[in-house]
Amino acid sequence: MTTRYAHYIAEILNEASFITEHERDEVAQLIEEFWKDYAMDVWDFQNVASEIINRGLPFSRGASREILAEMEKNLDCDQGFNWDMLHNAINKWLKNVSWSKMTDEELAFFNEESCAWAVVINDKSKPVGEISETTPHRLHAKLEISLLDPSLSLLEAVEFARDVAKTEETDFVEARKATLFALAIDLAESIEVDEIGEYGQVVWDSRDCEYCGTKHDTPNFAYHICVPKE
Amino acid sequence: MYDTYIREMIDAIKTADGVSVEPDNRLYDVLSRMWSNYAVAIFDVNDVKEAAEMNDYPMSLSEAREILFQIEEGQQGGIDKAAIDSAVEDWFEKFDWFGKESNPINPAEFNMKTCSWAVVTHTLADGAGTVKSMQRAQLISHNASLGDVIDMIKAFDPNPALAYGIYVGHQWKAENDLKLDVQQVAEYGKLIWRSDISLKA
Repeated sequence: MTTRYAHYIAEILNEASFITEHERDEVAQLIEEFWKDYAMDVWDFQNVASEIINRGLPFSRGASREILAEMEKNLDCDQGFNWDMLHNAINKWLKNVSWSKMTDEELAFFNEESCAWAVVINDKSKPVGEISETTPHRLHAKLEISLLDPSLSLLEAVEFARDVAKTEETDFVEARKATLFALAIDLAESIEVDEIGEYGQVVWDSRDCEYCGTKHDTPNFAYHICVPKE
Repeated sequence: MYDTYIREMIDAIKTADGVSVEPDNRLYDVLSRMWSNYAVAIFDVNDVKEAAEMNDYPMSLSEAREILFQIEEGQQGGIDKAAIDSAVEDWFEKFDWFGKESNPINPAEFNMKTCSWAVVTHTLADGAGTVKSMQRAQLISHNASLGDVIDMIKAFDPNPALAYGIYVGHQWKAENDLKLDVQQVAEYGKLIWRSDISLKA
């Protein structure tokens, strides 16, 4: 074990009041001594973050722990860790994560500035009838895009998207629809709206039911059908 | 990090004078929480021993530890068994067996039973100290340390026309009575010790 980790562990034990400051160096030495028959290959938050940033995904300390735990679970003693294992662990995490079912508290944890945000909004200035005449499918209606700063947390980005999705008093049959995408920071400035679906990860959609997590594909407040009756 | 390592580490910490780690479980929780921020693959001296065994290289505990240390320090993008094999091969090639550039080695430390030894009797060219011919080769079991083999050679009758060499690096197959094919030893073995050179040092 490198000296760095031994001292780090001793520091933590000191902070947790298991040892005094005076004993810190002695304990660090003991830990180093214990590990001298071993070599450790340590993968940490930074390793995961680098890959998550490449992919342009929201990221949190908790997500990092889940991904690292998955890597450790699949450790093959001959192979050790490698980037493929990290990719697979991220894929598995991504498959299991349910953005639409997260509470605001959970969304707030995704604050590691690992991605840019793009809110794609169908143009509310046109009534649905007009859109339907010009475009065959309502999802292909004229779209607007708002890029948000990577420094925003997922919760802040979702709150922005919620605001823009709010419908005002209108005759529209359809409510205004908004979708929040996470995407790689270096892509964000140059991406075209029709490319976002390909390169971005949907993390919130105004049609997602906040109660059941599925897309009802009906007017905005249709999720109320899922609200338990009082 | 696997629980077993955390528990063993706690046992090690507990040996420090005046260090109170009670209750154990709370210390376990603290360490476990800390390591949940990491994924850790652990390799130990047995992995080095295995790699040395595969190649029939001598190995000592202190060298195995040093190899692990170097692997850990020099790693880029992960450690695996192949990296350990390659580090052991590299170490063997570069190791200063005759102690010309570093301190003399301690032969007794090479006792990890990772290789058999071939002791070869050389005939020396007159006064030049160069090998004229290899007369015979004898197999010594892997149970002996390098130190044991050297002690055995030291017990031979001294003869200035002869030198004894220890070769490793091949899975020697003795014909009978532990006699080895000298040509095979010359071709595939690596000389790591020779009485006329090493004993002078």
